[in-house]
Amino acid sequence: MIEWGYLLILNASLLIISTAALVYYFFRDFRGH
Amino acid sequence: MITLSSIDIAILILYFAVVLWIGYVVSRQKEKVESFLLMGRRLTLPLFVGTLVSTWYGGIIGVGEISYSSGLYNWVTQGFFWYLAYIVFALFLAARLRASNQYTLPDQLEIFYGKTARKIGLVLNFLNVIPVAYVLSLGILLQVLFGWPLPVCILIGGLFSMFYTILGGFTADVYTDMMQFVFMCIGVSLLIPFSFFKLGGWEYLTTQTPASHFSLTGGEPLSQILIWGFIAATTLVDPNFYQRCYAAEKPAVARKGILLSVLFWMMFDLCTTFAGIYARAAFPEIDPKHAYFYLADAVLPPVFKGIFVTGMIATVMSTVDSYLFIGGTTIGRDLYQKILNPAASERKVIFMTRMGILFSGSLAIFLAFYLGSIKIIWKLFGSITASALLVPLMIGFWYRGKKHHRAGVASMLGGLTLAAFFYIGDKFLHLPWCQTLEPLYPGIAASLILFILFNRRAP
Repeated sequence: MIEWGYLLILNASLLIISTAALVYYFFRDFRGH
Repeated sequence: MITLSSIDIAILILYFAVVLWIGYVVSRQKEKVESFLLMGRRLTLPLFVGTLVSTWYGGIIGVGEISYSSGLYNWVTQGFFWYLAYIVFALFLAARLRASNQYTLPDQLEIFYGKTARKIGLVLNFLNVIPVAYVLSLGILLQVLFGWPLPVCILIGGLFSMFYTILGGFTADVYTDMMQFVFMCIGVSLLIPFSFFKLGGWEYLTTQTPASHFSLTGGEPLSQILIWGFIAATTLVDPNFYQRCYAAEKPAVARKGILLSVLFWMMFDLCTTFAGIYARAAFPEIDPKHAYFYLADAVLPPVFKGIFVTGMIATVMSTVDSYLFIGGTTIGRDLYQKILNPAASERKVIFMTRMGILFSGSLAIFLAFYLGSIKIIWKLFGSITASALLVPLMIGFWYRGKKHHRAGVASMLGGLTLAAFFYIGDKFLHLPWCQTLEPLYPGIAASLILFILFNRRAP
């Protein structure tokens, strides 16, 4: 049986990584101003 | 249902302290109307996404309830249709709003249909943005976490949100939203891997929950589901979306910002939906409102639990502060500056906006004490506002022909009157033919018909 639960973990991980990326760009813009 | 360790509480206290600090630091900057109301139109793409995603997502307890009770149906009704609405907003409205250089949704109404339209719009807007339900949610969250009496929690949550918003204006709203966005996303993401490893994977979920939880329709008829599609269209007249578009650095930021936000909402919604399903699997007999608390208590260790709990508070607080601010702007700019005292100084306008936040917040706290009894009246405002504004605003933006002021005003009044009539007929008079129709349908139909009639008949 395929463990679809890993897709849920992948989604959660993507959310965390995307949030971190957004924070990085926020600080980059902040220092730029 | 949830116990917090000292470190969890420390994380929560740190969050409150940083929020206050942001409000204080921002309040020390030189104030002009454009900076206080729209952050000087300097909202960059990351900030735009952070503030929009967090502001929009306030009903976290409600989402927990629906996903616990109905599973994937939550994603369809609270997610899918809304993504379509956001994409329409992004592609067809966002850049146009920013390019108009306005401040508020009533500004837009006045441009299209004159001062009377502004006056109707600002009253509806104000009633619609008093954050009663969210102040109550904040109170409930604090009560669950600390066990204090609910009225005390409502007061603390409401006053705290009002305080830093009054201090720092839209800039404080946006920067705190950014921090709240981080807590919200990280908090909710954590539930999934911990639930997976502690409780089980796909087989656990599918065997421990009713089969309907994995049905996209949740056993509801298609007509019931499609209503959500209609409700999602109300995004097109949401004042928080409008404000953020007006504040964007440039039109492209508004458009790209909403599209990026959709991606975040999709990921976030999958986490919240499956967290609710995990809660149902692990705790089949609890009050659905407490789904996330039980799950977090069962699967999250200290520190992660603190982040999650802070994320829940942040989710609601980011919505409260944004709605409070729109309420303030409606009083300070739409009513005071544009109608009562057009010659008002910048300082006066900012002062009146602060008073507006105070008024809106006080009203929200007062009404939250009674929301159980007034909920039925409260939901009326959502239906009638959308019925009044959707048609005239969309025609204003997209119809290239002549648009007479009288047509816009008639459309607004007709829409809200018929929606109110059907709502009152259903909830208070229990008229059977009113119960069969969602008030939005007749409201929007009347709004459109009246617009066409009055647009033809005007000179």
